[in-house]
Amino acid sequence: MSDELGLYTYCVIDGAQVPASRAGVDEQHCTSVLRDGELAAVVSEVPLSEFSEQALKERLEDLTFLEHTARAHDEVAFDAHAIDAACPLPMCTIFAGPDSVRDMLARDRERLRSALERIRGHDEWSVKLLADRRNIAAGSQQSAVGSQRSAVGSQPSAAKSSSPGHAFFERKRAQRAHERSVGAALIDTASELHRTLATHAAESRRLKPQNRAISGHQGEMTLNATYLVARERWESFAGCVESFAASHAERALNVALSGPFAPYNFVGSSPP
Amino acid sequence: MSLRGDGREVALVDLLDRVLTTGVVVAGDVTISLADIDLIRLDLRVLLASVASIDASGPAALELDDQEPAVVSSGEARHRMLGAPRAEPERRP
Repeated sequence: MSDELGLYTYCVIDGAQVPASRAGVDEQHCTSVLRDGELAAVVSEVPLSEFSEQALKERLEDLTFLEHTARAHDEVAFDAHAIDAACPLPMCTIFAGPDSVRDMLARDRERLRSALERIRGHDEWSVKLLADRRNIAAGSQQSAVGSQRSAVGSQPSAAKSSSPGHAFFERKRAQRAHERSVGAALIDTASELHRTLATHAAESRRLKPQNRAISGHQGEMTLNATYLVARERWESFAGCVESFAASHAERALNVALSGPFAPYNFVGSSPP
Repeated sequence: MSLRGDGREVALVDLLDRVLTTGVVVAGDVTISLADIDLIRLDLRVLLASVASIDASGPAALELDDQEPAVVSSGEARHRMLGAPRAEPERRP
């Protein structure tokens, strides 16, 4: 058991900014600001015994700890970003002490400064598209997708007389073709929404669909994308999401918009 | 729609899409960072696999399984769908 402390580092900000101190990921310690020239880092102390590699491996599997840490990390970064601009670091980035943090600020100065300039005045927004395939399939019987089904469906009348087994496989084949075309249409719709939203954003990225076990979402997540949106363009971005939702509601497509977030996905993820 | 500032918190899964695998990775004398941790246990691997990003231009993979959703945390998704979108979102100051 060691009482040695490390510095949990949340984000990098402009050195002129002074975000309010608040409880850190370890609630015994509040956040503070470490400056080096034009840049500063928002940090808080954590006991290394609880934030060692071995300890974190075990603790991060505990969803309560994971959620607490993720939220605390995000709130600090979000608060700092709200007053000016903050480059968030990945969760659980821990330095040995103040000198290590200042070294980092000095070493990565140019890259961090340019990232801050790029994200200033912008927020990250999440947009997800969820499709209920059954409702779409049911609702499209008479539509373009449905017409393919009826064309295929007309064939078994001849086959029917020859063999019930043949008719069964024909129906299965038609059903699969129908499902494939519904699936292709869903992918196209997701890509179309993403392309449209990207025109209202400074930058955009598509992420993997979320894990259903964690998100609890129903249906298929055909789009999980994230956008860096200038604050003055937020209205047009949100309006675009809303008009898509309104025009697709009857097709059992649901759009979920969440945010704003500090721009985690738009500050570059690899060291120089 | 899950917007900050109107009394609800952002869904945990949306946060994990961000805080776990993205953010600026810095050089220097880092004692520990999540990227360095060899996360060997299955649960967290599944979790991390779900949030790893894919190529920006790639199509979203369709999930074809039809498993029952399992809520595993008190922070379950708080999506409110935009079936009837309205309401000016309030921002946190």
